[in-house]
Formats: sequence, structure tokens, C-alpha cells
Amino acid sequence: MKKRQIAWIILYFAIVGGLLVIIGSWTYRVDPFFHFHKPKTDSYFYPLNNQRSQNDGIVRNFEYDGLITGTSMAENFKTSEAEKFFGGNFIKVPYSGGSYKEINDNLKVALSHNNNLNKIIRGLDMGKFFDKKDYMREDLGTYPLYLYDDNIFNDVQYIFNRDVIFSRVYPMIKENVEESFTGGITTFDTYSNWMDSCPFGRIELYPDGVTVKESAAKMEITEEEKTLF
Amino acid sequence: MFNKVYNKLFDVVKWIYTFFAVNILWLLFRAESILQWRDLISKMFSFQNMAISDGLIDIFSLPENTLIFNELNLTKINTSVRGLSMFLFIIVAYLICLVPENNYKTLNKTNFVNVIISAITFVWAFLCLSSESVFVYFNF
Repeated sequence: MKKRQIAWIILYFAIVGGLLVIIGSWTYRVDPFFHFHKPKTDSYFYPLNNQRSQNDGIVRNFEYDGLITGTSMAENFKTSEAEKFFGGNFIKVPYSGGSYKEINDNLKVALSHNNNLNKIIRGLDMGKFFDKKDYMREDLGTYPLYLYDDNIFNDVQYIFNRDVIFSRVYPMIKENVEESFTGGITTFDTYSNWMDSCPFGRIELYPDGVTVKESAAKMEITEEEKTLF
Repeated sequence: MFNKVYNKLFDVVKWIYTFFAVNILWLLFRAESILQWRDLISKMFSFQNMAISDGLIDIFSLPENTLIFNELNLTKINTSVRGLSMFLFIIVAYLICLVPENNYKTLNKTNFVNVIISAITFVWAFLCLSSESVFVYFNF
């Protein structure tokens, strides 16, 4: 093999290796799914919008002593209200359409990683009482199982993930350099909360108020009608 | 003098011919019957609706678009021009097909540009092996 070809191969592997190290280290640093560490809210803004990918990291790496979980029936619960009533610091980790098994698995992770956890608010959907104990919603999508285990080798699917890099890590880094940038995270009150899309209440139904008309004369049943009844 | 131009022009005619032949014959596999194939062909060439569907445009909305448009300062244009990503995709595809030399001719070339392009495309392809899990909420 000629020297030039050897140099080409070495350079090729050096560039590939270099690019992978840069990309991997950025994903590790930003960590939009909280898989490696708690969020760096001083440096980035973390949108919470993927329950199956983010809930596991939330229960592993956040600081809390109360937890709200359940299906979509628990999505509108507000951690601020739970904190007001029960005190402490709550997180919310709901699973849209999730099964009891899925919620249980997440709770087990929470209890094993957080000794301070002492309050759990959990929605109990009656419709799921008779599901099989290991039933999972395979029909909704593919679970990112590489995020749920402690195997560091399959994390390659997260560190070198096209969607994570281009749709999450890059925009978060880009935001960070803007002058108006303020770091943070989506509040747990608004995380997965769909209440805004369902208007309700008296004002929504009758914005102009309800007009009550008194009938002119009261009608009473006659003696004949009483007998008939 | 015109011979060279004629040859080049003839190449383009050959491409167009191949493009049409492949498209028309592919429809044979898509259509459920010859009659349906004939219907599709007649509708295609009657040019009654030239609108590009949103579904087709969405196919070209790649996750990489944010980075590309940001770095090339095309974000504002992208929001005002419908299907810009599709248009750029086609332009780039044409450039790749027409400008560089054929791969077989450059098979043993080991220049600097070659190694950078090869490495970047490999890393990009590697990243494309994984995607974010998306759950569609239904049948709850």
C-alpha cells in the first residue's frame, strides 16, 4: 500500500473519530433526556415533551420527595398544587395511554434512586384493572429501552441519535448563545398538560350570560289529572 | 463546433427519456390493473392539478434542516417559501449527479476533499441509524 493511501485511511479514521467525540460529548453535556445527569438549567432551556424518553431520566436525576404519575388522566395534575397541599418538592411523570406495568417500572426506578421519595400521587384507571400484569403498549410506538437500563454500551443509540442531535442538542446550544437567552426547564404544571386545548366552564358555554325568564302563571295539576295519575 | 453541444444536449434528452420511461413503467407495479395504470397515466398527462401536496413536502423536512438553515442564514426564507427544503434537496441532488466525476473514475483517488466528504457522510449515515422514539396516543 502506498504511503498516500495509508495517510488517507489514517486521516479518514481521525476525522470520523474526532467528529464522533465532538458530537458525543455535546450530547453528554446537554443531555436533553437527563440520562446522564440532572439538567444544566443555567446553561440551557430543557423542553419537556417526550414522556417515554424523559420520564426515566427525570426520576433518576431530579431532586424531589413527591411524585405524580398515571396515564393521561393524571397529565393535568399540577405539581404546584400538590406542593401547596402536601408540601415538599414534586415532579410529574405521566405516561399517555400507559399500562400499569409501565408506570410500575418507572416507580421502581424512582424508589430505588431516591430515598427521599415519600409522597406518590397515582392515577388509577379502572379501565385497566383487568389488563394482564405485564401488558405494555407496544402498539403506540417503540420504547427507548436503551434509556431505561444501566448498560452504557447501548447508550450509543442516544449519544449518536440523529433526532436528539439535530432537533434537541443543536437548538439548545444555539439558543444558549442568543442575548435574550434564559435557561430553565418546562414547568411540571405545564408538562403534558392538555387542559388548555379543552375549554370549559360557565363563561365558555355562555359568554353572554344566561337569561332566566319567569313564566307568567304557575301551572298546577288539576284534581282530574291527580285522579288519572 | 456544434458536435460537442449536440452531444451534451443529446445526453440531457437521454436522461429525460430514461426518467419518463422509469416513471411510467414503475406505475405498472403500483397500479392494480392495466386499466388503472392507463387512467393514472392519462391523469398525469392531463396536468389538471399541478399542486405539490403537503405530505410530499414534509418528507423533505429533515431534522438536519434546522442546522443547515441556521448556518446558511436561510431560516427566514424557509418560513416564507413553501417547500424550500424540497427545492434545495433537488438542486443538491442534481449537483451531486452532474458536477463530480463518476465514482468509478475516482475510485482510487486519495485527495483531501475526498477524505473529508467520505468521513462526514459516514458519520452522518451512522447518526441516521438511531431516531427518537415517538409515541402516537390512541386507543387509550
